[in-house]
Amino acid sequence: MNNAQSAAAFEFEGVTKIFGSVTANSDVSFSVESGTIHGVVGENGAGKSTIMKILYGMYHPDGGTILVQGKPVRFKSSHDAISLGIGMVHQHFMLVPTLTVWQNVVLGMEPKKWNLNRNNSITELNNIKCQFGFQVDLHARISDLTVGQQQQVEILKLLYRKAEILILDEPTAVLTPQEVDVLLERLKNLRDLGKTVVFISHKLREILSFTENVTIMRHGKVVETLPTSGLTESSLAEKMVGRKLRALPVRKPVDTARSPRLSIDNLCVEKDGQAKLSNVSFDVRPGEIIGIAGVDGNGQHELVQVLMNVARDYEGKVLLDGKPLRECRTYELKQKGLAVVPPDRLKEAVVTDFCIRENYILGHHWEKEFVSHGTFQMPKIQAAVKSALETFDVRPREPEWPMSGLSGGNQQKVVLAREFARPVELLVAAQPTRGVDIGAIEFIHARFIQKRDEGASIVLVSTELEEILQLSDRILVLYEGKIQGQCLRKDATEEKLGLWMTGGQQ
Amino acid sequence: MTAKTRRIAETKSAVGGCIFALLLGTFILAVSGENPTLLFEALSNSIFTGFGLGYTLFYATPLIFTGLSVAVCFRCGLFNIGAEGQLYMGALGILLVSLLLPNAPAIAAIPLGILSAALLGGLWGAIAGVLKAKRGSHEVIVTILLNFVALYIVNYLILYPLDDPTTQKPESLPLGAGYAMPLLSEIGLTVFDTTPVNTSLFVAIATALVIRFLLKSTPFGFEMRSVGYSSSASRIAGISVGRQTILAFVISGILAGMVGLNDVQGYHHKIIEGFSPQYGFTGIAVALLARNNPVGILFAALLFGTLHNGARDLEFLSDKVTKELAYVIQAVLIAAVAAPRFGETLFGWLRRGGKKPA
Amino acid sequence: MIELLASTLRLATPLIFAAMGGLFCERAGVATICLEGVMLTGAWAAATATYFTQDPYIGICAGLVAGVLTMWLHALLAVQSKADAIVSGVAVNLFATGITPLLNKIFFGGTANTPSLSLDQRLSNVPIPGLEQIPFLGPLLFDQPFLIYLGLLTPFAVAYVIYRTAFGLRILAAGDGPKALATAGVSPTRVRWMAFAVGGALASLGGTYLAISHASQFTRDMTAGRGYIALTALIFGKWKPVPTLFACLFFGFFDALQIRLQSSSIGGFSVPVQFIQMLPYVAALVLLAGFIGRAEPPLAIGKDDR
Repeated sequence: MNNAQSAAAFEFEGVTKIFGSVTANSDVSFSVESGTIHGVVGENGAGKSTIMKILYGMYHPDGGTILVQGKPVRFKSSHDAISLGIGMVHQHFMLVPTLTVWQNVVLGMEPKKWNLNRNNSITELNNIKCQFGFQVDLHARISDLTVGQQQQVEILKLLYRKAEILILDEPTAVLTPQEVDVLLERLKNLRDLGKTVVFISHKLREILSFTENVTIMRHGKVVETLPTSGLTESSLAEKMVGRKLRALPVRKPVDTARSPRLSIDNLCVEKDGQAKLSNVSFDVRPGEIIGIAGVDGNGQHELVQVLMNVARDYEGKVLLDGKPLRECRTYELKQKGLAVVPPDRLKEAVVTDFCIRENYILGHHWEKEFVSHGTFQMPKIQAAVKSALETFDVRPREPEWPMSGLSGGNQQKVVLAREFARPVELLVAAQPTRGVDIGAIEFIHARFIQKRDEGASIVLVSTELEEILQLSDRILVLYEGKIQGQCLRKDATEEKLGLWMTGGQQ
Repeated sequence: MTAKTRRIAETKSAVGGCIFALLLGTFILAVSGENPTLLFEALSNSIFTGFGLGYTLFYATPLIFTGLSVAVCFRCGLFNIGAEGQLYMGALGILLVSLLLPNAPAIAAIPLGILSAALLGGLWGAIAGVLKAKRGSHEVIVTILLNFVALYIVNYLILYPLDDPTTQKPESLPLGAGYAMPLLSEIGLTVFDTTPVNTSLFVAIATALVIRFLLKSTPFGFEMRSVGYSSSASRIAGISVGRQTILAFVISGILAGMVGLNDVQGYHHKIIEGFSPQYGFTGIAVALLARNNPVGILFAALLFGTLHNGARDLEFLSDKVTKELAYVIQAVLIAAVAAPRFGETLFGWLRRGGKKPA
Repeated sequence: MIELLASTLRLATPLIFAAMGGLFCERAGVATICLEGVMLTGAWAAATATYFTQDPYIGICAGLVAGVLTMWLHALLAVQSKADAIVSGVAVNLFATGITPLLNKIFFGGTANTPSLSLDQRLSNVPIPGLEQIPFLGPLLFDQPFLIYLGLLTPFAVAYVIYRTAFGLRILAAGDGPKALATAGVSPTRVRWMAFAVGGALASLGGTYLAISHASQFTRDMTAGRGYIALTALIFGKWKPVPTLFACLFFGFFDALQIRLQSSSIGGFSVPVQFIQMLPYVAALVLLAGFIGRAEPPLAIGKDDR
């Protein structure tokens, strides 16, 4: 690339952003050449999203300057950023689920105020669709679309707003490997048409395969900005994490002679006349981790609800140690050794308005060790919580600290401390490391392996293929409520699983 | 840390709200062409004279019950706007048991009265709870509608089948003699003179302490608060959300029903049409001001009792304002407590010279 | 029978205005139980202004102003200060219940009512040429104050605004996805303030109609729970304008029926007036108990999007 061409699309100079006592970005400086795909990598919490939200006008910097096309800018809101041709696709899509694709795209930039002239804007949108090769029905409701299609709508929104700089925050996290390929092709296409693309990710392979330059961030600071060519996955990883990753310990082989602890036979779940799970059957033995992979929304939710004993309206058999699960009260199951890590931590696993102590006893609040004569035994509870916080290295070690004041990783550690406080027979864990920092991920994975080696049966539901591949003994792929394929860990490859995840056969 | 700053903001806002409410009150008096100090005269009379304090405590007692009623539902994440209807049903319970057993001696009659008030109030509350838990009907609308229905039922009964034929007034038959709660002046507190403050005040205080214990120190109360904060997490933890919803409304109904102890058993000894000056709605304000803390409710009820008594006083003292002034002041107080950022918003807006925040 | 129909229409009109007002606010994502209070202040302002100016149209304007201001009180608390919308609604209702008799005392000395308006000060009937000539039906249905016609047309106008204009699209987005709206560069707060203005104006018309057309004065608590019934109608109408219109007519019919039954007896047995007055509320309860299927409110209602 020669210098004459490489005008900067935008540039950060010493940008700093502070939230309360946390410095999200400090002294961030880098520039992005126009007409390129620029990667921004870093761990969760490295400040990648924050710096991009500053560019998009959602946050106001506490220091430093931003230059767009060489001119310093100050955005009051995203509105200002949009008018300068900056657009962003957020990690969590910003779409109104009850409105149609077309309505979502024109929202805020309606062609006419008093008579929304459908034809006009629809022709324009069809043109954009053709030009960039999108396939999505403009009259479909957002809630009826797949995640991949919703992402197309998000990008359509940017193009309709004539965005020249497109920021994508973790766009591949929710996609299948095949969908990722399509997205990457599309982004290259956009670049060739002269757009600038900023691609935020922590998936190194994607970054390496199609960005021109990459900015590496750690702890809110820029480590380095450099051309991608010449980098390798391991050199990038080291710069990102700042140290080498620990390898997982070697583990015992599964004892296939033992009879299954959890056995699921022809499980079918229906909701509003739609089959959410059909004829799902599998067994889990003691000391075995079953990984359930798949794109979000293919029946994982329903399966986890059944296993957590929250959904009891299903056909087929779900037996724990030979006894039908739904005939037991959740409380009894917990005493028998059912441990759960629900997918949505803030809504399902913890009560954020409770303190750590209250969250620690949640679900076990009738246990004899905590209650006598119908009254809580505070000193005993306090002692139990304190020692658990010690064992699970939760910070701060304050039983009365409000749950909402903990980081995602520490919240998840409290959940594990609670669920692992008694012997575990069956662990149902869904998305156990979502929104958790790398240190805590390692900790959580190690605990899972430890429980497995102690003889627990584990069902791990995750959309992170890497996690599934790392932990599972056996892998099942859910697609449209059916088991599309299954194999042992040693026979699994990303390509194979990806094929199953999109409904392909092998 | 954040909890602490929030609490400070809330306290500031509540105190600011009180001051603002009083200023607004004096302003209204001034606009009406009345001497503004009259408000303070009326309020101080309501606290610093035995007679005034007697009435203030008499009005505070039902507010403790309704405040607790609203607070228990709040703690379970539910909005009970139905205390007004529940308290009429509770009063009806007392009347019915007294008509059934008119000659019961006080030692049996008083507990009987309390139990039947609790029973009918609880049943009336249960309707809203069951509809919410089983049918998903919104409890706010349901309880509001139930208020009207309860009011019409009680009015019908006391005007027709249970009407007192000896008087033209819209009143029911009188209670049996044993059902009367002793007045405080009758048990030796002569400072309260002829005021209607009665021993149900002690029942109210004891009830507040029981509710505090229930919520704070028992697994049952823990479940209720857990459902209130997060029904999804509670369900996964094995707590029956539907059961807690129904129970919360039953307890709320019981608490509101016990208002009858004060107004029916303690004072009128019969049901008078429309005897409640919106105790149920004021209970919402009481619960909010006390942040649903049972002990706080005791003080909040005292404040609102003073306000109510003071406003009544004012109507006697002045021919230029009405006792509805109390509602306006209450509304301002609720606003100040419910929106800690209310004052902030207002002042911020003024500072920016009337421009919208960036 | 036609008399009952006409009476249904008259009694449904305040409900329609209030429900349409509520529709704007709730579709924008804020629970609005303060319709009662907005109607009340609207009614008082309309009656008072009409009394002093002798002109019901100035009365209507005064009602509109009062309604918008009262609804904006709710906006100040629930939208701007992020207070719980239900709590804020309770406060606004309480405020309206208190402020109307107080102002009344200041203006007129009496507490309960504004002075009665003479017939020519009230809104006069506007016959619709042609249709009013129909025997029986004509004089009853097509010779009414214009607010009644307006009430019947409003839901269709509301439907147009909500589904066909940019403003409506933004209201729907504010209710179902405020974050999406914000990232599209439009402030949900701003949209809500505007929706509240329209909502307050519409709901005030309900009160105005009660004070200067249906009756001839403002009386204390004259809305008598109509704001809550309107809210129930809104729920039955699943927050859609035209179905809500029918729900309002349904409740209007029950109200008309109860007035009709009060003056009659069934088979020689006269039904106690309290039970008849209960009818609309019981009907609402029975319907709410789920005989119409579960209603899904706008997504942002009851959620924290701060």
